[in-house]
Amino acid sequence: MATPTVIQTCNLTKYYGKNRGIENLNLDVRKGEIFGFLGPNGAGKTTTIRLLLDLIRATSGDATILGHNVQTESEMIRERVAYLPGELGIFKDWTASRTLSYLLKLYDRPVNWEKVEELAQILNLDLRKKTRELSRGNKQKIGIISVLAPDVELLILDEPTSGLDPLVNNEFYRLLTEKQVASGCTVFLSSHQLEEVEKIAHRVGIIRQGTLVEVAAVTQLKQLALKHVEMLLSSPSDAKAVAEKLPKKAVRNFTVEGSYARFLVKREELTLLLPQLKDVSFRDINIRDSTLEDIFLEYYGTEANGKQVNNKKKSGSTFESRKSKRKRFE
Amino acid sequence: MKKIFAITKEELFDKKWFLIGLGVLIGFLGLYLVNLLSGLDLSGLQAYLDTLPESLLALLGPLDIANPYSLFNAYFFSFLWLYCGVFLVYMASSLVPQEVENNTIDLVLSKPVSREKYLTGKILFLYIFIACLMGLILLFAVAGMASSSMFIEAGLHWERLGALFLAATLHLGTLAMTAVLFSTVFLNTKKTLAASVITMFIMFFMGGSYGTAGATLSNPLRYASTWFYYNPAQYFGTGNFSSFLGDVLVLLAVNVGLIIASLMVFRKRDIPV
Repeated sequence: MATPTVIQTCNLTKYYGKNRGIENLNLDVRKGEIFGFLGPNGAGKTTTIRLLLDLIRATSGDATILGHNVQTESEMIRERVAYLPGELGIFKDWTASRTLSYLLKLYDRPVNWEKVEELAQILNLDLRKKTRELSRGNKQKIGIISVLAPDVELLILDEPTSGLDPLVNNEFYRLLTEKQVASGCTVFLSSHQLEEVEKIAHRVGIIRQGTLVEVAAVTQLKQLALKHVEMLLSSPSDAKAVAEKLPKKAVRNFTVEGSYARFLVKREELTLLLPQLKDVSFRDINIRDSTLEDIFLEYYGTEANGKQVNNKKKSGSTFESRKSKRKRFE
Repeated sequence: MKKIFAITKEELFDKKWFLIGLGVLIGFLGLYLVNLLSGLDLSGLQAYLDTLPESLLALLGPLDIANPYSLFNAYFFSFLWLYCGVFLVYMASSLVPQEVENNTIDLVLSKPVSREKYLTGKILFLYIFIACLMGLILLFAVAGMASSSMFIEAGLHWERLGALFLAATLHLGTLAMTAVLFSTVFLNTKKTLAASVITMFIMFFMGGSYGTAGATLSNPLRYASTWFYYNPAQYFGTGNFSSFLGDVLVLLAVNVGLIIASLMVFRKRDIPV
């Protein structure tokens, strides 16, 4: 039996005047999965989420959540959904406790205060403090508790870890995974960081310029991951020698600027690169996760904002073009 | 209803000190005026007023100085829209837009509460605020009148205060609801405040100066202004209730019309980020 669909959009389109928000977005999120919604800033992730929550109205197309129309039956839907925005608005003069009490009492079910207090303790949040006295990360914790405390069937999280320190970030993903496993709820998680999404998602949808360009399992997505390497050379004249010693199969987009050599390497090919470095003369090296912009540039031949580069064919939305693009990273 | 009351309750809790402070301040002003008037020679003032040219008296409007109710109304209740109205318009203008500007509206409207219930909660808060504010102000007026020999001599007519309470609450309600309607259109505090204050003063001048306008302009101007239907000089000043029911019904209809328009606009609006 097919897994029921929790979120379904059909040609969902939103224009803000003449500006595109999203265009003909077709999305299926299945019951019980963690669906990562990945895209660079301005791709239309937040617009999609705000349409699903009926905070804004679609220009055309339809969307349903749990079988209900998001516009005509939104209150019924929101009884079964919890939402965490990326830019969390906070009632500045209220305490964390009052904020949570107000928000959670808007559900028809009784508030589980034991759960709220337990989460606050795990996240090390003082509920008695006024929110204006809290750091950005601590304010975000209020939002996290407001989505993890109620028993709902769908969690919609829009860049949930912005402002959180790495320790709390890990704690949040642990709590989220625990909740998802225990309750079987569906999670729709948007992010612009590949590494964040691949940690917990089962499937990932990639949105670019307001259109879904790819839906892939995380195993496929992991092959997309690139590392950005920056080497401080001993001398600018070493650049040519360095380029020759690096494994050509693994290294992409090699550029030199002054004493700095920069290139991309697939994460799984780092093992090929590292043994070669012992023969290379450099003073410092910095290896970091590549941005989505780098990934779009590498795999789709376009920058995240849609600008075409290197005369590569602009990625379209047809099945054939998507198939060929997928081949490039498989 | 539970969700509407939850929204109303939080607003009342937030603004309680503002309500008490404003009510006490304006109440004391009323008390001070009662005491001030009690020390005046009203018959002497009336004699002076009788010597003024009729054209000047027409500009001043009907003023029975020998009557303490009329005088107290002229100095106090006729200006309630100014004492309280500006604050109310400011508060009503920012009630929804401030939540948009602080991003808190996303948190609330993503919970199972409809836009209609959300806005109704805010509107209910405004009416409760206005009613409580008027109650506080009139409480001070009652204390002043009950302790003033001038009012005791003229007779203590509490029914006039009751009528005034209802008319003033509805009149201030129209000001606040105009601001709420603009706030649902603009979802921006500054634009809403500007539009509401301009509308308030246009209405005031239309309602207050229709007598000096030409005959063709006179009727449309006065009927279009809510000030025409707020006549504390009649109910409180002279105890004449002949137009009271009509005035109250018109003000009530304006309030209801503005509420319905606000709800209709708000349910169709995109909530900006």
